[in-house]
Amino acid sequence: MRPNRLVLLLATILPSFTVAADLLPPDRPIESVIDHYIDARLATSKSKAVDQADDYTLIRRLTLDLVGRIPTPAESKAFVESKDAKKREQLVDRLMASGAFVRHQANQFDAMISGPSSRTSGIRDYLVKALGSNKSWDVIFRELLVPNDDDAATKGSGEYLKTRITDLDRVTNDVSVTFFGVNVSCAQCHDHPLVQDWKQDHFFGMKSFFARSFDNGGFLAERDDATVKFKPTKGPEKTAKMMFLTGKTFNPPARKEQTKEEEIKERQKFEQAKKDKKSPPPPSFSARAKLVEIALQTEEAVFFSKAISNRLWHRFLGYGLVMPLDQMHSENPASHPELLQWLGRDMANHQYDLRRMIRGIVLSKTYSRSSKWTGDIPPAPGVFAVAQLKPLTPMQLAASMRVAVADPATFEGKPEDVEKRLESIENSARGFAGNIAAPTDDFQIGVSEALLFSNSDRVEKEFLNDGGDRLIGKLKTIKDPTQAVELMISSTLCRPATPDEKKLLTEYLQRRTDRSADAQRQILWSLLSGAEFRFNY
Amino acid sequence: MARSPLCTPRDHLLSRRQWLGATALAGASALAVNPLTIAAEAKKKGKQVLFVWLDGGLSQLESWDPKPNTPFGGPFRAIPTSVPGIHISELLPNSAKQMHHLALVRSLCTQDNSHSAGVERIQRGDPKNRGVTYPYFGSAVAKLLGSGDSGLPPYIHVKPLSGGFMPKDAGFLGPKFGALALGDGKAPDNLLRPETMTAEEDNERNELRNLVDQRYAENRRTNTMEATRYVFNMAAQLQKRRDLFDISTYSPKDVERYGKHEIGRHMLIARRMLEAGVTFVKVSSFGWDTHGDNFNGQGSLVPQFDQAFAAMISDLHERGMLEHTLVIAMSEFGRTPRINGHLGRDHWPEAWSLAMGGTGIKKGAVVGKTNDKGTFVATDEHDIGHLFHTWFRALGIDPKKTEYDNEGQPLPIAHEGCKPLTEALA
Repeated sequence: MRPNRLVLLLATILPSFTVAADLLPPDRPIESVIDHYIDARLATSKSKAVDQADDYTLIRRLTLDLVGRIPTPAESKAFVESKDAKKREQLVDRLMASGAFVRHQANQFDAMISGPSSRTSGIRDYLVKALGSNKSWDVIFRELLVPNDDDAATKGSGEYLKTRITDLDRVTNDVSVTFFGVNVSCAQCHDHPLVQDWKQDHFFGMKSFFARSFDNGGFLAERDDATVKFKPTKGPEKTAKMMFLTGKTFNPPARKEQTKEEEIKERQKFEQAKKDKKSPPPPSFSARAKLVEIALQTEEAVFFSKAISNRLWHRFLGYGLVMPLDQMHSENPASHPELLQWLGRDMANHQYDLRRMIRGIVLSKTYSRSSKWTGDIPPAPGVFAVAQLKPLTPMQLAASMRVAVADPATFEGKPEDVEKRLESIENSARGFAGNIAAPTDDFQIGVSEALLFSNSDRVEKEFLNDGGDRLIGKLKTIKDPTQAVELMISSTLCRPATPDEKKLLTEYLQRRTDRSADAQRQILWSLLSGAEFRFNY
Repeated sequence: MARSPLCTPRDHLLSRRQWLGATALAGASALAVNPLTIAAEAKKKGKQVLFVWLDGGLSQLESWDPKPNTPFGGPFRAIPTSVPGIHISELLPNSAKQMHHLALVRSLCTQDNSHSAGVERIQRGDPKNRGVTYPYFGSAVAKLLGSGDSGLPPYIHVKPLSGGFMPKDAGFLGPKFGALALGDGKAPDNLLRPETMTAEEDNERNELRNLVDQRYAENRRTNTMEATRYVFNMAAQLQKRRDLFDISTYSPKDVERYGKHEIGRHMLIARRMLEAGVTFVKVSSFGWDTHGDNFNGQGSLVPQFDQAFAAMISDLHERGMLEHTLVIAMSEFGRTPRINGHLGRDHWPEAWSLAMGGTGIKKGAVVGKTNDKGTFVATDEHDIGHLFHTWFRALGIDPKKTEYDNEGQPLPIAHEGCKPLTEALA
């Protein structure tokens, strides 16, 4: 006989609670727990961890990951030369305390929540405010799913549902994918063919939490009643119960039969709100609020806490503990199940504090490995023996190009001034970023990007001009070609030039002394358009 | 209930057990044939595809499946074609003369009657949902056949309005297999090298880039690295072939023959792309959604399509290119037999038609038929999955032996519940 589905499901989903005693203690630092579990698995695998990345690479990686740009030459130099044993923690804390951290993480969360196609400015604005005031992930989740249009402090959060609510199937799946790491879309038409966990009951159960919501003249409204019916693959039509992914069901308060008059009155209330362009009256019971409540209950929260842990891990390590990110189910286990359980538990125990988790991940040795491996066959990405290459996001790329082509002297001075200059650079990069494709898993650069770099006068005008505050302007004042090469490499690639590069590029310049400015531009162009610049490695 | 051997819209659900059995078999045979070998074979033969997409819904009754003198038949007559016994709408007089190169499918019965869902589902082959986004047919062919020796992008889309790179088409295959769209048939943006730069300087800077990249690539995952080189080379190749985009070099006679209307111009550009060796060329035409005034709407659009399409078939045949080029003309669905209050026809996925021809396709074949009023399919119904099987077979790719590898997840290239239409295969 086939084992009961729920038993199977609970046995696979709930071990974080049933075997919690076997996990490393909750008070151990996140970074040490990460390295413990990753190293333990490596010890039994054929792959060996590669060395730690050098300091030039590490500060570039941290700066790109935390604040969304490459470091300035001064930042790199200071970090590499520092002998302070705590310099990495200090760097992480400095970067995370800056406004740029909030803005960059808001971009990242925006891409994660909105997806590449349906970005609206409202959600990003909301995320900047929310992350800036250190809102935790459960609060952000609640404000996205139960938005209050009349609250200025959370303005913009409502756009998440407003842009989706006309398609209930889409909301149901988007919410499950983004917040619970689960793709239930197949269970829409039939029980999932491969994954025992997902039945039609789950899809329609989740959908029931959204079925009462609708668009009321540009405002999100929720009525007091609505039923979801579906035709199972076998048997007669069913009425769905409100059911969370764990199988937990909820019976909404029974509603007394409405008279015709009451029905008309209710309809009029919504019509009036539409006419007045105001938020519609709230329901006496909100199914969406109930979903949020259930999803965060101790036993149910495994989905929520593991999904955000896996997504943050993926953001910083370039590969998830569960891949694909929306396939967290019993038949697709995590590469490191205990680690994911521990991280999920830590998230829940610390009120879903995003900063705490991010800091822990980037302080681990697993995070700071080199991206170079030795030997013939590269280690599988899921063992985390070597760092993954992460393509830059459009904003990371554009902002980094702006930083790279600035005269490094403009980044010297009081830290507040430098911060301001960097912020204005970031703002000026937004336009160019619009021409770059957002990265996905298995990312490939499009031919239009190569054409843009090769031939567009935008690249020429925005990045290779010789204004006074620009690198090209500065290079004019440098007579020694080797010195010019060193400056170009350190500004763009955030590391010293290798002897080979120095020799080769110096010769290149020396052969073109009659047109040295053009030759410098050529070199700068090749550095900006190359793979080394394009990836966070 | 006994399952029909064909995957029909109302009966395409397999039980878990059946499904697992089926994939176990498919998996075993996939190991036997390396997809790379297939790609290499097909490449040798230089297979290409022309895919004409009539966006919004061509009316089958005003094209390939006319029903004159019936309640829903509309005002147009049916005319004989170069294949005895096959009659098509009088709006297609030129295509009628090319019918001996073509085959018709009149038994399409598909899932979606909305554009938003239908356009994607049809072009992705409506595979079983496995939580991944399947590639459009163009991206699938780009992946399976590669870009050949042309050095040009494997998937070019000539379309009205805006152009640019369209990574979305590629689904899980990754943006490399997306479409390069030529908006209004024009060259991609930034095709031309700035006037201030000589070809020599351009080569120099690219050599520099390659040198710097080489150092970086050592002992790092090469595929990501190759990504930059691949696209920069492709960009360089496009620049070299900018003659392809120069409309002034087209012969006035061809321009006349294909028609000066949009689809005529775009079809002619498509011919040039095929001649240059592009693996998959898609031509889109918009405005076919004739909910109102269907008979004037289709009545003016169909003849434009007819002129361009027939000229293309004739040219491909004359050049010997039909031998290795698969040609398909279709929409996301057909149009309702019932004529609505605005003298329009609405969306009708229940019974519609498409035309195809060229490599691997049986000349003059007609698959299936609709009932006398044209309301439903009277023979076996065919969903888009069957057509994907048919087209892959025509291109020399066996969907039973070839599968995608999505980061270790094996995925069939066409709906495994469907089969090729053998009666349409040569």
